[in-house]
Amino acid sequence: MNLLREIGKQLGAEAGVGVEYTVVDGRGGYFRNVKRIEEFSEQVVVLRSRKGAVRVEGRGLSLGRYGSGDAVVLGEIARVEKI
Amino acid sequence: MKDLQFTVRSLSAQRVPDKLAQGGVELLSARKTAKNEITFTVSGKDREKVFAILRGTCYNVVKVRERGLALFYKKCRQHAGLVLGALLFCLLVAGFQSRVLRIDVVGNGAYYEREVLEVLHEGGIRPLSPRPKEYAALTARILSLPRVSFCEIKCTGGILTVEVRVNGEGSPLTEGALLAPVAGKVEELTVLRGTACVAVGEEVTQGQTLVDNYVLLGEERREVRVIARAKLSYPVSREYAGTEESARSQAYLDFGADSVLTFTPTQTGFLAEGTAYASAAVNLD
Repeated sequence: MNLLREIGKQLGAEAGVGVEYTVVDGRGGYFRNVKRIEEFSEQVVVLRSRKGAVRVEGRGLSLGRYGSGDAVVLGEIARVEKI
Repeated sequence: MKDLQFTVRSLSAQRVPDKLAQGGVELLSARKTAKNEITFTVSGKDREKVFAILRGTCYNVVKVRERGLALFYKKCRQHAGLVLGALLFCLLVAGFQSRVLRIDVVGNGAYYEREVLEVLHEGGIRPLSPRPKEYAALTARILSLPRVSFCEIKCTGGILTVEVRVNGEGSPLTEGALLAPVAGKVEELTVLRGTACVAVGEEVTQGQTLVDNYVLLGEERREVRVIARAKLSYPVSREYAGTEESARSQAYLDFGADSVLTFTPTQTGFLAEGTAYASAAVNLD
């Protein structure tokens, strides 16, 4: 994640504010800086951070661990969209 | 502490993960199981916190259950009798696997069943005794029985099967004691089974019991089939008319080729005197 911050810095993004995520194709994704879950269903999960939110779309979505700003979304993620 | 699974039903069920996260409860997993229903898992230590956070709200906690090993242990405690019964069954099966439950004597020599059972009992084998490790000594003893040509001992699933085969027509054994065929002296006595009532060198009368059909096991008297043979010697004296040659032929024909005779001429022929032998046997060729 230090590399991610480095990249974010170069891109001019404020690190640790927006939702940072890593998606593993077909397995799920790991999301950081999550303040709350605005929507939660098997097709859509919306995660909001202090600044911005992401919409995760897919099939068979469920939550893995969630707490302390970290969330794991399990299932087949088709799309992650910034909203 | 074991994990707990909750199912919450509410119009705003999807807000439950946030409420718990804000209350400091870490969700281990969560899934929307119905339109207004969510099922989630937390650590067992957060049980009270979950109820505290959801108390006073519009959430209905429908079901709480243990997961994983905790669920297994709970089921075992609920069905303790069944679990104990299954364990007892397994112990009994394992225990009796190493025991002889039944003894079967088969084959055309199966009429030796009593003798075979005695051989086994003397070897410490009876129902519920431990399975024998070695059969060689027992097989040898059974093979020594009259006319037995084959013997095999197998133990499968607690049943000890002794197959005994005899040669010849396999006629049944004779019951009863060995009696003296003539009055005389016991020269040889072979006793495989039974109790000898006389000793070699002893004088006996005709019909006297030489070997009786019982054995003593400690203080217990057990009836058995006699397997024995005896040879007796007795004095003979008979006069034969005619030549010495014909007297000899007839005498040895009458008293047996193994008799010991002397021939003395008389006025009418020859007097044969000496010792003859008679044998008697019961179930022993």
